[in-house]
Amino acid sequence: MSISVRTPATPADAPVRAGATAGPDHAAQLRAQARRRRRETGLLLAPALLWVVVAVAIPLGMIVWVSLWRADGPTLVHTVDFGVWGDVLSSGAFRSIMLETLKVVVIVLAIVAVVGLLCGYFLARFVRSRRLAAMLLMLAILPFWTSYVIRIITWQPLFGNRGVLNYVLVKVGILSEPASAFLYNQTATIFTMSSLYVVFVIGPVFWALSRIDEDTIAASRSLGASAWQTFWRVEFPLAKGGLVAGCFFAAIFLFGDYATEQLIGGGTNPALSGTIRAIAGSGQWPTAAALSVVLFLLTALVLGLFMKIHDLRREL
Amino acid sequence: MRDEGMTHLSYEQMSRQRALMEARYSRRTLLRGGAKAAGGLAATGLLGSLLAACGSSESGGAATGGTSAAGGGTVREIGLSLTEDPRIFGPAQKELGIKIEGKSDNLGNQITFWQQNYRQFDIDQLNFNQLGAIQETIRTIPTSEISAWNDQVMPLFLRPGAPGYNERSGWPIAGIYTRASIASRRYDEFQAVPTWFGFDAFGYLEGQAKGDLDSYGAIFDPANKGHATLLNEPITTVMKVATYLEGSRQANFRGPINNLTKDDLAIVFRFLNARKADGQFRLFWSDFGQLVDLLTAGEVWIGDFWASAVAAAVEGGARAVFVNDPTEGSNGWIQGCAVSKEAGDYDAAIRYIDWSLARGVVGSILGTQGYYSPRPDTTEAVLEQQDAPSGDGSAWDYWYEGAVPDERPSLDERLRHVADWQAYPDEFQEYSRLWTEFTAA
Repeated sequence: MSISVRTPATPADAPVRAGATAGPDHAAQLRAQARRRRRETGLLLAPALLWVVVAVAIPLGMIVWVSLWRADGPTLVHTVDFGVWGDVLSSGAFRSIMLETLKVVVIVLAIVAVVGLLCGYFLARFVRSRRLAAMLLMLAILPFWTSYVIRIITWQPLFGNRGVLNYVLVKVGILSEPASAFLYNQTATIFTMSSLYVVFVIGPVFWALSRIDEDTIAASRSLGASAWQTFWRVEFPLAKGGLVAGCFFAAIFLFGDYATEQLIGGGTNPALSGTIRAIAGSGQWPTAAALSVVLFLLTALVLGLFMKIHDLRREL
Repeated sequence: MRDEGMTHLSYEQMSRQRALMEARYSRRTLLRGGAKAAGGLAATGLLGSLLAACGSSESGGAATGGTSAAGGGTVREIGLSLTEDPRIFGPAQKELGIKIEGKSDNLGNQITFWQQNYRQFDIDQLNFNQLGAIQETIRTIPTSEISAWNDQVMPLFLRPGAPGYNERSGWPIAGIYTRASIASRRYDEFQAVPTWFGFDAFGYLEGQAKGDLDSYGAIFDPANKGHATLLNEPITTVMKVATYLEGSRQANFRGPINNLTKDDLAIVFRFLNARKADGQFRLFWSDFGQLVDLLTAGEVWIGDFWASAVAAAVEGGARAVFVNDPTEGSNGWIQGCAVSKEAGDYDAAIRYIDWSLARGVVGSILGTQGYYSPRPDTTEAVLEQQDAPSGDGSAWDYWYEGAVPDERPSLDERLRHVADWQAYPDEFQEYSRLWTEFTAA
């Protein structure tokens, strides 16, 4: 991801440009101007760069460094050794954990994108009162006021053997006895994750759609576009930024979420982040570090794809 | 293997304590601030972790270490909730005239936390099955410095050969003393000092679980397919499965069951992977609270439950049963104190450890939770004064002497049924690798 900073044009620009065709003096002036701009750009960038270096680049560098160490039993050997990387990349278990993690993230992102878009569209277009729309949005955000673990655990009494869903299904005669299929598997994990992260998409999509001038929609309709054409050709492209921004942040959380898999998935399809936690927890730092680098790359890959779909910097 | 630090509390107390702890740590650390808290926070963060792992955390730790280590008469310890129990640190502080700063944590975080922060702490109250992972951060202790470690200590912990001793693994002696002191047969130097111990086995929901409910085999019985669970952790779970396989004569391991060889592990995991493929396991549980919830909600019927979680589930209305002495034998474990290589106040730490054994406070509090002290005599003095939960006789008779054998066998009886003691295996990385493969399969 690159960072660009636009420096404001200075009043000095005008005379320089006006006399740009004149002799070597002006060329020198131009160079001085360019130098000054570069200096200003550098100064403006410095705080952010410093932060990125201290909070991101150095820790990442250290993680990469630790991944090159070796563990002789509980003893860590500070060396440059690719043995751990060999183990991590050749292990069928780690590969399957990486692929499963990616699969779950992609499926959940697809679900939250579709559901989030539908909900955002509903709020922006079908709820006439702004107040009500804002209130409904608040309701969607409300669960975020409680702890993340609580939000995960709440699905247990809903889907458990003695949960609400089983109770209803047995009561209406669809099931003869409570089913255990609603919890402790990958489907349950995907469902719960979708419910947790869909709100990341609803909000931005709602705001993006709300920002579209009503006249733009009216113009589209009056030129003969159907409701679907208006949505697809006018509203969706304008809401795309919100959709991608929502998915972008959901993806970051999804890659780091291991509690859902543990509590709702029952530890039967470990997430890469949970595996890192368990392995680091037993003191196997090099392996945990190598897996962290893989997790970082997977996350960067998905986020990079989002940036390809829509350059979020344009939203700033 | 103990729970998240709540073993000796009721479930309600545990939840209260957990909430209290969370509140205290978030608020105290962030608001009350100060160099110490901020240093501690930094040290637990990613950067701190890495710095510590890189062996260069002196700079990060200076803010922390500088404050309390210099105070004198302060013991900073980490461990289970025991370390924050006012019933223990209250009298200890009063009688010893020292300050005790306890910090309890989730069991799964303990090794990593200690490795990152041992420079800022004096004592790690740990399960001896973690000792292998933290060897480089602790110092040995001459037994002569702990005056309570005298001939009143149970023979099991003094010399090889007592009931409960395992010839093949050499445990518990092999876990308590340094190799040199075992080789010289002087047994005069601790790796860590045992302060309490107990036995792990399995449990089930009465009326739901089927099969021979005296054997670990019931966990793997097809009659309980889809309703069994195992703790999501390699050391203790693998040992339990090995206990079953060897105890039921399905396998003959080359190594002791607490320290299996790679070939032995292949046998254990062939068995486990086949059971998983058959759909035997509903889930893999990972903490005390979760297990209690699972039992009270009837989500699982049978598994390698902790006795304390079973007790909490019974309080919550579940018909849960803990099997004290399975046919194949129980898995003993030892909890105790290891002292940091960079302890700020070594003398205070030693006095506190000595106090834990010499006074019956720790032993009696843990005794009524079902655990034992290596110095039963000091515990007896306290428990004799308390009533048994059954209402008949003293707490001592009930918890140690087996006055109600159906509910609670005597300690002597249990020592006859211990298959081996939980230890940190030499091939831990192989344990961990195969466990990851198993859960991900």
